[in-house]
Amino acid sequence: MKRYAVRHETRYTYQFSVDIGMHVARLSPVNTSLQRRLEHTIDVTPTPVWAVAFSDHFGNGLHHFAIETPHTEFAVVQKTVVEISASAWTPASPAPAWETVRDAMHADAFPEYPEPAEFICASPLVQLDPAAAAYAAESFAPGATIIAAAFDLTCRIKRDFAYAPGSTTIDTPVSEIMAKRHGVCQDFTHAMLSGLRGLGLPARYVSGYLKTHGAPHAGASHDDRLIGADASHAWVSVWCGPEMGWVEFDPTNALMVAEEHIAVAYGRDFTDVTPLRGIITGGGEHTLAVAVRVEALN
Amino acid sequence: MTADQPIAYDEMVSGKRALRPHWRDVMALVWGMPPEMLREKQARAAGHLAAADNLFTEGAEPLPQWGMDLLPLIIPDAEWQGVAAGLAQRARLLNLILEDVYGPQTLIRDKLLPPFLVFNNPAFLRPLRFVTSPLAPPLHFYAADLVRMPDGGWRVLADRTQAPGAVGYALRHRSVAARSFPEAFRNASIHRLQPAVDQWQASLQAIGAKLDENPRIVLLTPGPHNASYPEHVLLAQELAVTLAQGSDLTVREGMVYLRTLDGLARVHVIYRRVDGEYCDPLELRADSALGVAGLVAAVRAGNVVLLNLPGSAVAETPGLAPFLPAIARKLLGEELTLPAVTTWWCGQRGPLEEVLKTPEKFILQQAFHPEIAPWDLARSGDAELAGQLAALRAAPGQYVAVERVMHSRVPAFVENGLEPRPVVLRVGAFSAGNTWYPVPGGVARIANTDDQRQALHLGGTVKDVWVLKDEPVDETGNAESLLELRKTHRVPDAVGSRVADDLFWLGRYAERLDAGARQLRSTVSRLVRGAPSPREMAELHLMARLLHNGGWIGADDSKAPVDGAVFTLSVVTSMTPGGSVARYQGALRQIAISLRDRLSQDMWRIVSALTRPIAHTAGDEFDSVLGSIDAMLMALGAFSGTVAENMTRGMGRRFLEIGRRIERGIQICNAVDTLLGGQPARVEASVRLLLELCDSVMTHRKRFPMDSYTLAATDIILTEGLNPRGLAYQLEALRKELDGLIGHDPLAEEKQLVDHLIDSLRAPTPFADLSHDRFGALTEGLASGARSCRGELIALSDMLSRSFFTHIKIPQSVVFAARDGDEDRAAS
Repeated sequence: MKRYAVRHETRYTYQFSVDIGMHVARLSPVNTSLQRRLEHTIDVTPTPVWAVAFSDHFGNGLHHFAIETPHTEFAVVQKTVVEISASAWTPASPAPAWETVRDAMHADAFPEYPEPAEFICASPLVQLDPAAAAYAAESFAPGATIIAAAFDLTCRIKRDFAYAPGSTTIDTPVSEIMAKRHGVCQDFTHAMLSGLRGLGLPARYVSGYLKTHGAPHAGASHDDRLIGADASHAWVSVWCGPEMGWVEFDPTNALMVAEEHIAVAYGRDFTDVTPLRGIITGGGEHTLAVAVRVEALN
Repeated sequence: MTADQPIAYDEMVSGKRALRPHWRDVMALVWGMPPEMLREKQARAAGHLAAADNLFTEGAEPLPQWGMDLLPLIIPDAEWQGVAAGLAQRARLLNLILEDVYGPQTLIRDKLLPPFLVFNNPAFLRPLRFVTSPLAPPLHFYAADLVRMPDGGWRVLADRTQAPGAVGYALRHRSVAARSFPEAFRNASIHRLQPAVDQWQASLQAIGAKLDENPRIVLLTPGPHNASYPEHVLLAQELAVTLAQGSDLTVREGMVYLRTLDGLARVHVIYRRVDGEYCDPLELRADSALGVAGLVAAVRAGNVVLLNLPGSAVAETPGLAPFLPAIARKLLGEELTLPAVTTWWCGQRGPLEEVLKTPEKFILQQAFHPEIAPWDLARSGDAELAGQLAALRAAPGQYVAVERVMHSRVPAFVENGLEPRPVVLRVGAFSAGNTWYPVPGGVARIANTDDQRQALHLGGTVKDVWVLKDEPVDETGNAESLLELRKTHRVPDAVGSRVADDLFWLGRYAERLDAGARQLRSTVSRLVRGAPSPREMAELHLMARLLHNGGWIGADDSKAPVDGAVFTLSVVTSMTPGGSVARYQGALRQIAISLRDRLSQDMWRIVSALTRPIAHTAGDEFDSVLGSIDAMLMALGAFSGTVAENMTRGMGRRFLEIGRRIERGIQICNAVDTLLGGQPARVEASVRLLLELCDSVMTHRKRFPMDSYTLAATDIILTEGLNPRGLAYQLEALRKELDGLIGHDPLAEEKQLVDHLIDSLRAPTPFADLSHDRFGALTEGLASGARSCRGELIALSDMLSRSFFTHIKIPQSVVFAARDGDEDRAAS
């Protein structure tokens, strides 16, 4: 069991005054079977004239803020303390063959387990790309357990794709990621989701944070640190049959999620979990600053 | 026709070749009428329908082509009761399905609804999950396209749950039919539409009353460029609700407001005719310019009721049809009495294999996109069929197969009389409390072939739909049904900012056209005489400059010899399609369209006449042009008269008046400046023209009987307060209208400006001293005075825009947060 304190700050600075801003935030780490939120606050400046919290279709926690005082800076700071239990599964865990999971999803219109069925479909940023499916298929030998095959795919993506911040944009299609073989965690996650869904397997997008090792501000060697440097991060959640349920894999770091990933929101792809989305009147150009800090408490 | 093909049901004639009883009266009339008379009535009906939409057709996409068939589709009362009950049952069912899909989703868990049809459905809007309101059901208005099968039974060809049209069209067709074929209504006992519309209005009021005892209801329209806009306008009028575009509304503190001249007015109920996903750029489609940012949050908070709930289109998914009977049994404990045409979802193995085996038996339709034309696999060529089946195999869940349908036949007017044609019937129902009320009537569309699934807004040939009453006609009721007398509804009190803006510019453009028409008439009437005299040459020179300054002809053309071909051509070109006159006519028309719900029928006809293209008859060019200009000026006269006599003295009219007065003032100043500035060679010519252009020749004749065109005569145009074509009159009128904009303190500045203009006009004019040496200074003084007055009037227009209109045009921008992994780049 690990405990973390997370602080995530997002700050917009506008060229001109903004008269009205309306924002939807998905910044509240979810409660799951392995993750418990102990403390959680969200501070917004300027103070919203109206704020409501609600849950979405996926069970994520959302906030809606309306700011109606003129402002040139908008900041959201979320602070959370979470407790995380390690997943019991390893790549070697006994698990159903991947074909069994696939067939359970395709039981002539009425799958036995309808909830994961949402995540076998294409979604706005995860097209069912034939190249992604073909690439994924190499990891899914006949009869392989779903967990071993998914882990193999996770490791191959880490090996075959270059981590290159700035090389892609917010809506780079999967086909382009597959062709260029580079990107950031969001791109690797989308590529892996496309491959898995192309094989008929249910897979979700997870957004969250990652605790990195080493001293983040001491100029230490980065070799032993996971990519995602105390940052917001993204990875994949695969449905591994009714007994195991959802199991998470991190293709950016070639590992199964254990105790160092803090999940914030689940969805079909990035569009379902966008941390902050807003509409402003006025403002002109804006600059954005994001700072994430994850601190281990035990 | 093969032997096993069924024979289509005939609406008018029974199997025994006898006229069905409910058609007897109408057909007796038709057959008793000389064919020419019938043809004339038919032509008049088509004309009335065209006139009803007249100005709408421009700019609407796609261009709807409507035709009107004189004969109605007649449905006897007993039969309608069955259809209505079936319609209400389907509406109840689809509403329950929406409540479930956007709520607990037990239908999916109970294996009654395939998850694929929800989760892979583009109409399923996830942000609306758990947003069902206790104040109103997710489905409020439902429509269906029906077809009658050879066995006489009605079937649903398509459910419509997004934001379907029906009632507005039905009202329109009823009024056209009643006008064109009144004798048919004389003895018929027909269900009127008005009581249903009134009840619908009451239902909307009742929903709003849960939020406010005096609720404000708006109809949200995508605007004049939408092909269904005419229906939105008509419905808003009939339901006595405010017609609003997304930009007319704003969300503050989680509540929806209408922007009005008196500030923000709370909105409680929105009947939307904008597709669900376009309703809110914050939580739905970010690229939508048709919605209101924050609207979904306001709905979620229960501060406004939005009907139908965005995402309601899930219920019209064609793929749902095969599963509805079982869901009806489960949720209603009933069998569907008005079933859909037989439909199979290809996401299931059985149907897929069936279609692949015998494709020629089926029509293949998109499971999620009913708007995409279906494939009739029997009519596909070999290569085409192979491609279609490959697409089906690749994504079977995206398709449904439907049975081939043979529509019933109705008599339709064709070149040589009546012919039986396939028909589709669009009917609608609204909910009030827990009850559904089918509207007794609808839209019958003539199809050219069977298996028509065309969207209603795309047009076609239509018929009025009569639902006959069983009981004998009540005389007064019948008289009313004859004309579908329009009920006088409470006029929405608040004038939206956009509406005020539009009215202001309607006034300005009308006056600009007035000035242009007069200038062009003066020019053409001199050109038409040929070989101009020296005086006419001098006048034409002045006209050339004036036409250029007014933006009617180009700079180069205005410098060409006025007795030459270049100048003549340029004047004529300004009035051809694409010319400057047509451009202003077009601008005026666009504004009128977006004001359609606020203009009376008479005003509408006047605008229509005003924007009619100028006739150019080859050989008689000048004469025909002069005729057109005269007609346009007559229409402008009618416009002024209607504004003066027939428009309620409200805020809206005030803005129209302000726009007119400002523009007329600008035009007068422009004429004075152009005609008197720059040391005119012949001052009398300038003065004479000025009087002519300002329609003040008669006034002048009374005041100056000696027919002298001295500079003193400019008094009539500039300072004479009684001349409605004079500058002083415009300024006084402006001042009065500005005073009337009560409660708007920022106007102090505007009023000062007008006061200042009035004062400078009242200053003693030096006309008494007309000694020759000061003459040049005098004309120049008048010209520069006019110039500065024009500048101030333009400034006044800008000031008013800033005070009242600008806040509706602030662009909204969407901001996305940095994505995962981009922090390095973003945080500099």
